Amino acid sequence: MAKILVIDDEEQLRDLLKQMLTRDGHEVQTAYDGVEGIRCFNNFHPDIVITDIIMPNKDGIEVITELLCRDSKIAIIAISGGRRAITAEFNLESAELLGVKGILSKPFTREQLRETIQLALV
Amino acid sequence: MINKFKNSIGYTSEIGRILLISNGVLLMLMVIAVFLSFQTSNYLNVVFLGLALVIMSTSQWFLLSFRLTVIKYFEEKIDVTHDKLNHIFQCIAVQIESPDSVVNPSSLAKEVEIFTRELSKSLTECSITLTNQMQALSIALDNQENERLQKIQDDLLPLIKNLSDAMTAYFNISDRIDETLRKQVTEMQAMILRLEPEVLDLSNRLASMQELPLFPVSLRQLDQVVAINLELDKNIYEQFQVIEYDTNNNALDLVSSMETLNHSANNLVNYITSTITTVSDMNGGVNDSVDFIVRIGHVIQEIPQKIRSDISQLQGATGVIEGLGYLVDSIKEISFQTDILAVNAAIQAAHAGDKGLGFKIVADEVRKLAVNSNHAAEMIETGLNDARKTIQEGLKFKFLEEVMVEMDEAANVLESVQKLEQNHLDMQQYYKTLFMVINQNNIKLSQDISEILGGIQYQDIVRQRIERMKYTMHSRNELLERFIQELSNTRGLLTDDFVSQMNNVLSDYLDMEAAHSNSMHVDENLPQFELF
Repeated sequence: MAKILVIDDEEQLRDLLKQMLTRDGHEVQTAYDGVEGIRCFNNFHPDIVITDIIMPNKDGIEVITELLCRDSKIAIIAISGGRRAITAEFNLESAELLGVKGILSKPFTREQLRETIQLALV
Repeated sequence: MINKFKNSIGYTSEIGRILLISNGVLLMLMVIAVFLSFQTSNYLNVVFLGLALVIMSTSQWFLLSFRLTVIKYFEEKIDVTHDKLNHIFQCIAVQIESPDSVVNPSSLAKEVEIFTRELSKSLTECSITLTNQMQALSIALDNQENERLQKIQDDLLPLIKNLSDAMTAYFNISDRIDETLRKQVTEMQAMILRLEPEVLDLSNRLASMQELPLFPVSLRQLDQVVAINLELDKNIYEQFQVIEYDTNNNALDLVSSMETLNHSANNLVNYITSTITTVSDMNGGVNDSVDFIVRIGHVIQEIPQKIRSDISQLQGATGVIEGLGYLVDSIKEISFQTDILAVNAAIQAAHAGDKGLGFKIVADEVRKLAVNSNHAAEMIETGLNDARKTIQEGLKFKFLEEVMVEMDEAANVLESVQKLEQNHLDMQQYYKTLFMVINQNNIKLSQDISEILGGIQYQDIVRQRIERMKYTMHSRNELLERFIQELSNTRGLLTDDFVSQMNNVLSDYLDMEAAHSNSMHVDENLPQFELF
């Protein structure tokens, strides 16, 4: 089982993800935005980072760029539902181009999440 | 065979068997004693029983002791025989197979082989016989057949004697081998002593030959020059191998890097292409919002002018209506004066009697006209008032309606501004993402391109290596040409030291190569573009 950091400004989804992942046996920590996410990463040293893209203060693209600049082998899964004109597809395509290990378009199922985590851990 | 013998007469089993038999006998005696005591009721039987027990115990002890002594004796004999046989074969092997042996060992080996075979045969026979006898002895002991035991013991004595003879024969053979060897060594030493002066003479003659600058000296130089050349070729060949290895790897790396670069560039192009539509949509949204706000701005700008125009129109209409009101008053006044005139005319007609009847009719009609005029003037006044009221109210309503519509639209401006702000935020986020992704990919592309450039740069290193080889080969060929020429001209009497010169060519080349790092062990800390 892995150590997972969830970064999402949507509290409901953040809690739901934590609940699902903990039930699957993972050790989970959560963060509200990119700034808190990076701070949490430094202390928690997770195996996988699951991050939303559009967030206040520091968005997911910035988080992904910063973490991958530190170590290109960090396993990151980008999740996004888009916002108005900015589509989830655009956000996830951007994250994929930056080098994340997996992408999930909101809403996603528990099975999709498990499968993406499995692939990211390989 | 020895092991088999030992196994067959193991101490434990033998002692166990003897004790078992003894116990059986004792039990039988006890049964007899009890039976007799029962029959005779006499204590003499008890004494008999005790006596029998003492006799049996003594006999058992004697048998056991004798058995152990015999076994020990044969075991020792067998071990001694075995050790001696081993020693014989080891000595033979050492003497025949020794690499330092200078004596031709064929005759000696044959002699040794014959005696050894005989010895081995006789020892084997002895051993087999001994084993058989020991087995027989064991059986005899089991059956406690003293006579057979004695006979076997008698048979064993000659066998032991035979074994002793065989040992003596072996020692004789060994002595003869030693003697032969000593003889051969002595002969060899004598031969060496005879040859020594001849060897010394030859050595002196060779030394004197080396001092002369004749053809053999040139041959030696040629030999050394060829050896150095081979060494040089070996080094150059190694360098060629390095170049081949590096070039191959470099080509593969280049292809891989180019593929990665192509893939990254295609991804980026696709990404940017896919973003154009989104940017266009976002721009469309922003333009719509801006157009709406501009339109509302124009409307708001026009409102004061419209108000002024409407007020002016209102004032104009009111003036016209007021002017018409004056006319109504004039009509009313005319009507009043006409009425008075009609009344006066009627009075005058009444004074005129019958002659004034016609005039009275006219006066009545004039009076009716005045009344009607007045009535018309009142109606006009009412109409004018109604018109003024209607105009005022109509203008008022139209103005308010327009203003309300415009105000409604103005109220939508806030929503449009909010939309515009959202669009602005979206575009900000969008372009931020876009630029970050493009920037990161550009960095990656830049790294890939650097790697490719590094690979291409390697070709320059290869060129430098080949140049060093070319230079060395040229120097070597010049020297060889001079060497051949001098060999031909001097008929072998060489004056230059070509060996040292060739050595210089080799060492110069090795120094040059050592001064440049080997690509297989490149220091990664070195800057990548140091040659450019």
